[in-house]
Amino acid sequence: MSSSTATTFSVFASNFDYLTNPFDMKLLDKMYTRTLTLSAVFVATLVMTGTLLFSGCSSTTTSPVVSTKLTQVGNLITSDTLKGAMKGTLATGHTYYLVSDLIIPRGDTIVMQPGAKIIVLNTSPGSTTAPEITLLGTFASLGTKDKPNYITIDPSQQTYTNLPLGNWAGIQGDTGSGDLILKWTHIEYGGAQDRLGKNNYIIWFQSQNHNFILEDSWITGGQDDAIRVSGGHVSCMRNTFECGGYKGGDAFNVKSGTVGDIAYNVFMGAPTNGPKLSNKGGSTVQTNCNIYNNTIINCGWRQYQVGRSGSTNIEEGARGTEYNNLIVNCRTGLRLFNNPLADTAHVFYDAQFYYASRDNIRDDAASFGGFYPGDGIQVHMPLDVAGGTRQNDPQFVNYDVNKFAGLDSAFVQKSTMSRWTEDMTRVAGYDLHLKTSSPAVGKAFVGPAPVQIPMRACPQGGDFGANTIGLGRDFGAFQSDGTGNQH
Amino acid sequence: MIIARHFWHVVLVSVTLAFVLVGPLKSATVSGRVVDGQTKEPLPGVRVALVGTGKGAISGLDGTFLIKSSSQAQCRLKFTYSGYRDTTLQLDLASDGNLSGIEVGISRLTGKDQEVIITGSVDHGSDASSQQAVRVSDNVINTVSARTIEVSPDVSVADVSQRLAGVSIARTSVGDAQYAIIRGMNKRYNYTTVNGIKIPSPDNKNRYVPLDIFPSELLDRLEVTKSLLPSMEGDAIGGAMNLVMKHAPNREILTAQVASGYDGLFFDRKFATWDATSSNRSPRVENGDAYKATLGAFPISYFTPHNVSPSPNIYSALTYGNRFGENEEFGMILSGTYQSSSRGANTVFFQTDVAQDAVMPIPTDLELRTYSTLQQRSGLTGNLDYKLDDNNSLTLFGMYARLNKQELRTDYDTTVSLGYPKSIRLTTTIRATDEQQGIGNFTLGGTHKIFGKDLEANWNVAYSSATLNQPDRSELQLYGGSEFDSASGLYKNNPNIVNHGTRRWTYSIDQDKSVYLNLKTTEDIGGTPIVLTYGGMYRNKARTSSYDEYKLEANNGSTIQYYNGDITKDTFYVANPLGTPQDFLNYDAHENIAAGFGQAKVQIGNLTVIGGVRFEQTTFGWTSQIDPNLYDGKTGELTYLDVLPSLSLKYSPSEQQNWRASFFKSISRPGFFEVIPNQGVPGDDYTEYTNDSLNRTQAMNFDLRWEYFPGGLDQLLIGGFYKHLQDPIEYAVEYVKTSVLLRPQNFGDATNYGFEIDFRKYFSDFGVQGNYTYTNSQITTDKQVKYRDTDPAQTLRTRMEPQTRPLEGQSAHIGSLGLLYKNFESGTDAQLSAVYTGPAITAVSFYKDLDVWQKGYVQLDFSGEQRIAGNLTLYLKISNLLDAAHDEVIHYTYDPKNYGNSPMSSQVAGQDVLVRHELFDRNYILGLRFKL
Repeated sequence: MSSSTATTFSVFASNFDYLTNPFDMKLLDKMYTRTLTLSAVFVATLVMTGTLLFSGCSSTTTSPVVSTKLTQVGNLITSDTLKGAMKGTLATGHTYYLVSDLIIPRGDTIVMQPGAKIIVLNTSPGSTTAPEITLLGTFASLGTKDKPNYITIDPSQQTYTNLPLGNWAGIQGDTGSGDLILKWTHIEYGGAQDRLGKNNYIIWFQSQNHNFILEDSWITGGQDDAIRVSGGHVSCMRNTFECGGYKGGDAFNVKSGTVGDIAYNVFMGAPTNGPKLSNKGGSTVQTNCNIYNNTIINCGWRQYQVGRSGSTNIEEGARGTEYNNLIVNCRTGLRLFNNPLADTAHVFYDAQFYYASRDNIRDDAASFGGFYPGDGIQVHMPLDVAGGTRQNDPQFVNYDVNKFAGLDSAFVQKSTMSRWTEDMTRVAGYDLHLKTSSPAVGKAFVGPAPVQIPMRACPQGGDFGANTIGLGRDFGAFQSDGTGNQH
Repeated sequence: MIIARHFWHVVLVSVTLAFVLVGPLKSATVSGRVVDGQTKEPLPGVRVALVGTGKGAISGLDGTFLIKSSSQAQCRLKFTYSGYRDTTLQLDLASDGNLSGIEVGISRLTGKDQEVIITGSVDHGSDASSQQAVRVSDNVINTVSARTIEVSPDVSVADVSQRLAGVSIARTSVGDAQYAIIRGMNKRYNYTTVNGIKIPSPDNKNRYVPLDIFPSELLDRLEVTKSLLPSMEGDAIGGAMNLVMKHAPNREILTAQVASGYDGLFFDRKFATWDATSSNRSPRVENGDAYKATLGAFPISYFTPHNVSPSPNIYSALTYGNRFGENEEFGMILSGTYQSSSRGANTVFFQTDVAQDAVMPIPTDLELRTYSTLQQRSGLTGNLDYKLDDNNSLTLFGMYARLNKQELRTDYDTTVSLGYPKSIRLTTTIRATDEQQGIGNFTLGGTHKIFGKDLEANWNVAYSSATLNQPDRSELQLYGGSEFDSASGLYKNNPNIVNHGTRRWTYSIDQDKSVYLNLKTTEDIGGTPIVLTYGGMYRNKARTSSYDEYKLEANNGSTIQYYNGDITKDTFYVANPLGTPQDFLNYDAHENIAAGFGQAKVQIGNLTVIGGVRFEQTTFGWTSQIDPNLYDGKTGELTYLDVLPSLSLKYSPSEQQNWRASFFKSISRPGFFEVIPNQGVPGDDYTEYTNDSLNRTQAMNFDLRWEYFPGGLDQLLIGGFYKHLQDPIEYAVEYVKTSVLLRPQNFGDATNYGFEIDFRKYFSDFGVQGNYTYTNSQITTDKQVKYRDTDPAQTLRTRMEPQTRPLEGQSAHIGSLGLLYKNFESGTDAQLSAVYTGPAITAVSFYKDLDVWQKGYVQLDFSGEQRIAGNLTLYLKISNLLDAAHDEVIHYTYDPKNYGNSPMSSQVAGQDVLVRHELFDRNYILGLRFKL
């Protein structure tokens, strides 16, 4: 087919050389004297075209010639400066300076050994130009309890006021990235604007067939969602989320295509929810996560839309479980949304432990202690602990659950929204372990659940595997037997 | 052929006497018909005087006249008509003093006194009747003339287009016609030309041209060509819309009109407006990529609309034309128009989602919207022609049309609670859009007869540009609502809190530089004359698009920004002061098209055959904002060749009839933006991609038409068409492994067939005209179906299933009917016209069977005018007399049981789920026209 077209064109082109110079009168002259010849050629062309036409052929379809990506030459990570496309290992005990976007190319890997540190330079509070880590390949930060890793900003800029403003642009993965593994790692002062000028997530993972393992880490600060997962296998275990969501968002916002376990985390003062599940977005894999044994405090007070929940939430075609979460002074309790509807037939929940320091924290609904949001379709479950105001104090080792109960607090009026404060969002300095006398100890649900908990969607064990643990017998993240959250 | 050889005998004057059946006459009358001597087109309004008697008449709509005469053996008739030479005829009367059935051709005024008066014999049933543009055309076209437009209620060319057979229109948010859908083929499949020169589009993504930019007063004629000849550009599948602009007249003319009006909507509510004072270009484009915009660049006035009573609408136009020089070899016309109108709409709109495991729409939000739109439409066109001698002439044409819109939209969005109304969210969005679109064209052309007049050369050099400028489209979003308070049993209103604002600058310019050259000769091959036309064109197109969106976050982080009606009390910060330089709407594209064609026309007896082929070589290239370090496709180039054959047959068994059959192949190129690679833009539901392997659509088009011209301007056209499209382009979701992407794609084959009837019949002072088109198109695309799997976990899944449906925008039935009254004696003119547009898909859903359909509706317009003094006419136009609602539905029966058992506002049980209900009200125009 293509050859016949080419032939036709070459015959044709010879007749149309004047196209290159339409005003050349000599050519016109020549044209006229050649009229008869032309006519003959023209008839021939007609015949050929007819042949083309009736033989069902048509002109060819050509693929475009696109430019190929510029070849990247990876720097050896012997330098203490990180920028551009790199791969290799960041050595233990070393500090590296990220000066502009660090790109981990597809197929490449960067590993941070325990005790390595990245300081992001060229940052400023609320920056729109600060560097990011662009994740196309794989990134593994393998901190340990003794040698945690850091990705943070210059110590001179590390102030609480800078914390929620977003100082560097975080770790931004694309839809085809490799794994993202963060263990015992402090991710601080992230959440500035991404390269498109649109999002402010500290971490955006969206690679459905890869693993996002976030364990024993600290996600501190940020303007919007601390973490958004738009697809992937997830093990989000024993982390602390604090001081985030300056302008709104959820702490761990899960969209379509994400499966895994979210457990033993502390979510302090998230604007809307701590963990939230939705199946919204472009995946054929249904969102399905287990959310259990999380400690969720002071959440929901900065969601300005009426009725949006304020602790943990499942909506829009997502399925999953919610067990053993310790929900303290949140704007609402667990919410199962009806429009767009969660996959309610496959959402299993029970045994949330609620505490409210003031009446109006729990005035949304008349029944069952009033912890449940009015536009949700969740119901009170047998193992839920939901009493009256100041009933069922969970008895944290060092955290006054009534500290914001005063008349000047954000809780006074539900319709009067709070703003970001260090007090309401900070974990550091408190001990959220439960006293042995706590009513939350030993009463949690340990199974069997209607579905498998934990799911263990990520490979388990080893440097690059997850350490996913199951339901704990105490409500919340900290277990009296020493398991659970290790912070 | 012969016509061609005498083409430069510009003045062909003939007076043909012929018998035309005008019915039995009683006594002593002179009757007949007056036509244009050259085109044979009946001329309405010609003053016919019976010299010496003081008696006379004015010809009717069909050119007929009737004068009661005193019986004489002979009479002298004098014909007077502006723009035409006064003509006097001496005629013999029949013995009873009657004379009937004469047809008189009068000639246009020109510079040269070359008129020839031919007095033919009186011939009963003469076939020397009217020949119209439609009739003599080599291909299938429909036209609307300037005179028809003048007396119609139409304000823009888009309004006019809906009077054409087979054309339906897509409307703007305030109900104005905007795009033409030709034979069910959506805007992407049609192109627009001005005097035959293709013009670029101001749209920053696509090629199609919004027709509401052009004021109708600039037109001499609007043509829609439905079958392409090789000499025409080959990228129209539905048809090509050609705007023939006014050209220099044969004598001095001056027309002026001024009118005012009001939109009925604003009898009931106020018009919202704001002070649009932002800079014309984005802070980044103005100051460079490193520039950090501050709040000063975003005037707060965009967030503080105020209500006014709209000032009355203004419509004005002025045209002057004349001919100069010793031999009147130099002609000019200048025409300008300015319209300013305040328009609006009130809309109920449901946002819908889809059920998680069924084919069922779920309304999620109910939005109440009001639109207030100030439209300022202006246009200037000038045409100069210069006849060097009989063999050589030059023309210079210039045109600029501009449409400024300032639209304020207020949207109250409440969540649909589906039975759980404990908390109701209310999101208020105030959107202010300031938009300027402009299209300009300059064309220098010439026609030359060379080599002893045997070769006719026709050339054009054209520059065209189209711009879109949306300086600072602003949106302010407020959160509010109410919550059920169980203690009081009442809903408590929450105060509004400012969420954020966005400010967006869009700019796009598209520039074409083209040359055209056509040559025509007549060869005698075996005694049969063959007209050969061949030629070529080259066009270089350069397009630049820039886009910046700034987000203004409310300072809720420090103090809650409550909104109490005065936004100046609230504070914001610029979240991305650098703008969005990496947005994919920042791109440069170029397209070079080299084309050549050859076409032959042969007449064998009553059969005219035109055949030929066109070659178009397209080279398209781009530079995008993609990061070349990370992704492929920063730049690209694509070249392809199309071979487009065409064959038209016209068989004219008599002067009153034509049979036409035609075939042509044509293409439709993808929009510029659609093929420029991007790395994926996160959308509301899907990551949106472009598609660099998108193919152009190729179509085989067949047409058959019977044309019948019983006499006068009367006509009956009946035709059918069949189109087969390969690789039609549709937006659809696509599964790539487990990801669902949204991007434009080619979808196998589609077909489109139908038939059209177009008729016109005049009865002296009355006329009726109408058309009807049936269209049936089919395309099969993959759609999503959400379902619950039967696996043990009963997973919610989505699969793709093919769905067959009509093409977007295609109505099975469209039609129009117009009733005309025209009395030349009294100078009265009235027209009532109705246009019916049947149901059509207005939004293709990505889910199976959930497409959004516009319901069928009738738009009824009235226009009338009355001459009040010699040159002065008073006119009245009322459009949308019936206040027709624009309703859109999803074909799924609404049953409250399926929706939480709580009845939803505006939805009616047992009827389709409503998506949109929009009202525009009537529009009134009262004006004066002066004509010299």
